[in-house]
Amino acid sequence: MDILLILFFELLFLLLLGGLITPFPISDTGTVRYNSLPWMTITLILINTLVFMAWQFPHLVELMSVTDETQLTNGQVDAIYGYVNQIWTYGLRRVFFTEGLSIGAFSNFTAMFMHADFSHLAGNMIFLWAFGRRLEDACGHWRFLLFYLLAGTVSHMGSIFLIPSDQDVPSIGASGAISGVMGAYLLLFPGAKMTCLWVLIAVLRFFASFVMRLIGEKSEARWTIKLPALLVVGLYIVYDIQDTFNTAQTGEFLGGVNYIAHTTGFLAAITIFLFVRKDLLVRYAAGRSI
Amino acid sequence: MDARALYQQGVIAIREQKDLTAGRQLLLQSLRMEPENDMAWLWLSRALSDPARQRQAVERALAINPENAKAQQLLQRFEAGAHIQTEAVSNGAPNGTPLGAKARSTALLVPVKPKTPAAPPAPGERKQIQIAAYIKKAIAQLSEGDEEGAIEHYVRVLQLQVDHEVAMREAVRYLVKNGYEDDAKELIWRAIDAGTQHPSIFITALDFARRDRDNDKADALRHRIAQLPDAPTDLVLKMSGDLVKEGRYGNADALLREVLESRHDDQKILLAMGELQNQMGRPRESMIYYNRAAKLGVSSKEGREADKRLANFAPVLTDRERGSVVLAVREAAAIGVFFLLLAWQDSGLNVGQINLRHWAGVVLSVLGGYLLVTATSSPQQNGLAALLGGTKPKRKVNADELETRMGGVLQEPTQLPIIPVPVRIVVGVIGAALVALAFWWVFSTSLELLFNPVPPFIPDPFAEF
Repeated sequence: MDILLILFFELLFLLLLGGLITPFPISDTGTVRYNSLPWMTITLILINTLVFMAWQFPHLVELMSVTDETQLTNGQVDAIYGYVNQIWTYGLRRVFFTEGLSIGAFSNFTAMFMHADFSHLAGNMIFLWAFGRRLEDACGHWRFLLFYLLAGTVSHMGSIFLIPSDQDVPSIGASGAISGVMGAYLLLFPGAKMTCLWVLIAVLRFFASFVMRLIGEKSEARWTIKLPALLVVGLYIVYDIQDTFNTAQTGEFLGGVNYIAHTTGFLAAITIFLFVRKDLLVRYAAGRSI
Repeated sequence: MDARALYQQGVIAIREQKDLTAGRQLLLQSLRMEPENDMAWLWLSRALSDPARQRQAVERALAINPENAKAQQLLQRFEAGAHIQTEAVSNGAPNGTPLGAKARSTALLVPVKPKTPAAPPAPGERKQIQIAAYIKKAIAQLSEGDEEGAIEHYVRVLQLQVDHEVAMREAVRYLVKNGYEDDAKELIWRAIDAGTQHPSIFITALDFARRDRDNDKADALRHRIAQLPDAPTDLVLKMSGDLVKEGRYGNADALLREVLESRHDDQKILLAMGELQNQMGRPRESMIYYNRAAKLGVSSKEGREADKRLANFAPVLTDRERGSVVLAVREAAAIGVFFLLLAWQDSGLNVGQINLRHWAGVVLSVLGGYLLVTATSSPQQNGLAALLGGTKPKRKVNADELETRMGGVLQEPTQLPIIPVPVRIVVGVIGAALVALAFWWVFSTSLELLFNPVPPFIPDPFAEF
């Protein structure tokens, strides 16, 4: 029960912090044209969650009870070893590919489904939910899966090649693939709008609404705001590109985030035209909205 | 008569009857009552002969309404004319040379007709002269407040030309105003029975029918209007809108269908039809019309609007897309690209180390992918479908009909052969097997490592303590 509460507050903290200064997309507002259940997006979210909760999370639960780092129990020491082993064995490392260590190129896939902590997982999955459903509708379920894996693979390759070769730091997370999904969303639906959480604006809105009510005017304040996808995704691209140069030069992950994987993931979005449904592709080529 | 009526009569005199004197008098009367009418000043400029006075009138119109584009244009022409004249003088060209004549005609706006000996008018021309004379008299009588007299002259015009639009409009207006509605209807129906093609006359008749709540007559008139080649689209839309307002959706539907029979490519009508079908609770039919409108192009407002409305529906899969081999190969290429990346990863990220087995795996993935695509999303490719025993659908299909199949994807009726299901299953299984084999080949080293991992270096998390 305590763990569930912790997770809940962690999620709340993520949403508030993530959407404090910049908009945090939580859903798209567009029409899903084929009325199909986005079961591949849901499956991807479930697999990511399952891998984390069933495999990585038990170690983290054990570590939550640490109060004094110098007085660790055997269980806590095992948990630390276990967690580090998982990341350094199944995360993305250049040496696995070049020297044939661990599980070799299979780490391309394992790294894609691993996450460092709960907020890392939750943040990625919210983005996947927000951008993935409509993209899956435009591609079809299996083509969407293939695109997701391809974008993740491209982002991993970009990350391996752009990070200085002397830096052997494992990288994990679905964010490279999800950046591809975001970029593809922007390419296919440039006029779309996203429902975002933007705490700063929400607070201002509530304040304005309060003042309006004080002077007797009707006013309704909302927590969310609809913003053009171009603005939302554009902001992320700008942030990512800025930090990509930093990481490429120093080899350090700023704030523990692999921005190179994000940027190369965005670049992989261009391949979406190989995956989108043929009828939609023809419409798109004719300048019609899809 | 009020200023507005005088203005209108003045415009008619200038435009329809080419009677500049009458038009000038009427406009001057109107401007005495309403000097702020910029358009009246503009028309007056056309009725004046002195270029300086013409220019004054245009400047007056612009002073009242600086946004008046026509007045701006005319002023520019005056200025250009003055410029040409100045140039002509400075170049030593005498007045009366072609250049000078051109400058004058630009300034006058009305081309100067060469004087030729008068020839006796032809019968048709004589009729037109008579009509112009009657209308002139009618206008004069109206300006004196003699509406009955004006009606009489308008009716005379209609005796000469049964569907003269101006005479009909004015005659009907004053007949109704003076309580002779039946006479007005008679004039209208006489024109209709004589086979008039003027939409305005039908509209007047329709107004009468609607006022009399004679739905049958109104519907018959709408039917006639729908068949008119020159019926303005906006008029058709207004008629259908009126029917919808009255709750007579079926009649609106029939009206628009009738118009569409002769105007297949009218985006406005197609869009309106789509909306009507939607209002009638027929989403699929509405989609057909939106689709037809959008297909005509999205550069127009209606095309874009139709395309936007289509967002509520799944797009139509056409035979062009279904039959395209290129579009199917594109999907197989996507699989090939992914497998190529995997082969590269498996070769230690060194292109030079991609071996024959890897390359064979990539080629196999494209082949297997193509078979999978053929079995699932593209079973009607041109040539291939017939080769694999595909037959054309036996059922005859209506061009407008859409059918819902295959996971709710709306599809246009097809004329292409489709590969039989058993063959598709076999092709699909072979394709899946080839893709699996390709994966084995491109990822052979990694698969081996998966089952026999080589322990990597892992830093001791407590090393720094």
